[in-house]
Amino acid sequence: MTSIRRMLTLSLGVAIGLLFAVLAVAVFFSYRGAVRAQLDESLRTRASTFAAMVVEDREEDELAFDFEGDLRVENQGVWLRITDSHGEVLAVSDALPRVVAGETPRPGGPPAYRTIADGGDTRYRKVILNAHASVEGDDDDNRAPTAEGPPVTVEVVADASALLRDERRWRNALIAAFCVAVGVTMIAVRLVVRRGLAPVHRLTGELDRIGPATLSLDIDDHTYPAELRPIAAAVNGLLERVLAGVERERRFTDAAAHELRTPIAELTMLTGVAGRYPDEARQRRAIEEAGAIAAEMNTLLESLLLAARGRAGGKVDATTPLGPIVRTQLDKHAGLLRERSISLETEIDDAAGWRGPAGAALMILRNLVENAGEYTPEGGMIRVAVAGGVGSAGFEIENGPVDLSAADADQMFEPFWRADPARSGRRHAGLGLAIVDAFCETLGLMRRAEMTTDRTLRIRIEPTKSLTPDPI
Amino acid sequence: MRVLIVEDTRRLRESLVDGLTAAGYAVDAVGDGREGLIHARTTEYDLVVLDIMLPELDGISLLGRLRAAGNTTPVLVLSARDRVEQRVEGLRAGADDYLVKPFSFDELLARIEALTRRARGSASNVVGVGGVTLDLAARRFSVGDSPLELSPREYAVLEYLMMNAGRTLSRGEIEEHVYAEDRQVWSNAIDSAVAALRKKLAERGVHDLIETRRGLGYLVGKAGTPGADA
Repeated sequence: MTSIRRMLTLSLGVAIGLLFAVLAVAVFFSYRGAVRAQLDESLRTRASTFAAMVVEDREEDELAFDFEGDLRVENQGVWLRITDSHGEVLAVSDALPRVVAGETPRPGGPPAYRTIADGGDTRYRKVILNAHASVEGDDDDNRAPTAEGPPVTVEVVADASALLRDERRWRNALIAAFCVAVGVTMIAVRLVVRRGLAPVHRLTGELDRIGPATLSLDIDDHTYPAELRPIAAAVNGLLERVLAGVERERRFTDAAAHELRTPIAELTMLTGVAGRYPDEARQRRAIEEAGAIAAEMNTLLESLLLAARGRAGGKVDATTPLGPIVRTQLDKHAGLLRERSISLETEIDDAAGWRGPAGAALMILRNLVENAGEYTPEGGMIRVAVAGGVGSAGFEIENGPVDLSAADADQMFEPFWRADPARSGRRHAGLGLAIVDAFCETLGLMRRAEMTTDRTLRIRIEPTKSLTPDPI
Repeated sequence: MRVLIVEDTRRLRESLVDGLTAAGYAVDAVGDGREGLIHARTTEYDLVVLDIMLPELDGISLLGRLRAAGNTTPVLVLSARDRVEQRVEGLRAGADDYLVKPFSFDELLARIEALTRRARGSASNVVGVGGVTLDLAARRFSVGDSPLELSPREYAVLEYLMMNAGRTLSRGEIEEHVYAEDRQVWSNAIDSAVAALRKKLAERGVHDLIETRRGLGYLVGKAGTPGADA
């Protein structure tokens, strides 16, 4: 499992560790470079000095090393070997280490520096300087190699074991310091990361405390760092949606319980009374009523199944024209509308249709027209409009005046919703608009219900991404 | 005893009326809350059976208004709303009992008996006065060990008199508790029922159980347990 804390700790630790490592290496190499450069410079100076002491006697045509001191390493601190261009040794210190002496100097070229190991712990540092001998007659006090003199090679060797030991000590000290620094850094990084992630833990704790009874609690996103505020705000949004869903489920359960318990209670009472007070007329009535109750429960079940099937229905590519269906449905209710003096206005574009099976379109339109006919009071009005193109029709139905609120308009497509909170009457269970909703989903249609200012309910159905003009 | 049923579901309302009438209660029934409130305020009922989800005026509001007006008639709530908070809401609004739909008729009867028993301050279903015993659960009178056969009207009159033993009851009051509002009541119905009762009681050797208070009504002696006055 990915852990942000581990990832951050590891990344920061590795980054800082690498930085320390680079720093340590840089410090080590600068120190070593400086010390070696100092040693090399010293050896090169010594070599130049020795080279200046090689004098050419032109008369005798020979080279001589004009040095009166003792060349032993104990006195000079270095070993020395001077050779001419023919490889003939002009001067050499006693006990010149074999590993150092083994290398044949190459005349010409810039000074060369070597570190030579003897196979054991001893290390030598050697400079090979190609110079020119001085010419006899030069001012002895200001003698210096000149280009006129024959070339000579001066090798100066120093025991660099102490220097290398110092280098090794430095290296080990730096490695130790690096390890300690990395350890301390890891602890510091861990603490910093933990502190940085504390708001995440707090948020987790708050989320953990949210239960079914506390869904309405908001997380105060202002108390969180900027990075977590969007998450806290998103969680609040999610909780609101969950709460709305729970509330919708609760309404559904209450309504379903009422719709189912009432007929069961009717049955229980009928049979209970008929059983306790057996009487032929009472028993006959109980049997008749039981049949009617069973039929009502079956209708309820069929409606629920219809809503469920509507949602599960597959898509059909054919287009269903809406005009004929709407006209048929309006004709079915024409008598009732006349009887109740309800005015009817229609504006139907016969070309308009929806993509999908005709049965689904019929279920939507039949329920909407039936609803409008049923719930429009005497003397009220119904307006129906169908507009738009083939497969992209907009259908709109208005009826009024009705005593509904904006909240009613929001909830009326929920299963078992009824305008009457008492849920009286057994003719409707409140599933008609839920069926409309289910078939809208099948056909990819968007439905919208709203109350206008003149107590008119307006329901509009159109394809989800409709570009059709407003039909009314 | 007279019961008011406020229930909007026609079929259930009719079954309740049928069953309770058969059980010997005088039953009035209405289908909406507003009418229920008017009935409960204007008639003295021994019990109200009340649905919660009612048109016009919901049961909780009806109950609240009834209690606010000082009406103490026992109320049994019938509802499909079964959640604890809904039951608590009903009881806190002033209901004496809460029965969730669907329910059995026997349970409903038992609860009605319990509520009326509680209303008269007794823990027993058996009431005894002057050697006559009334078993409310069995809905039967007896003198000694033998049952006393009575017509429904006689039963209702004697039951009400015995339930209010020690109190003089006017004819109008007895009528109000014994007959439902849709019954045609003759002016001498209570007197003739009392006369028939006296005759049947006298045949069993019980005299002067029902006393006439001239100009006031009828009185049955002070109530007691059967063991106490037998």
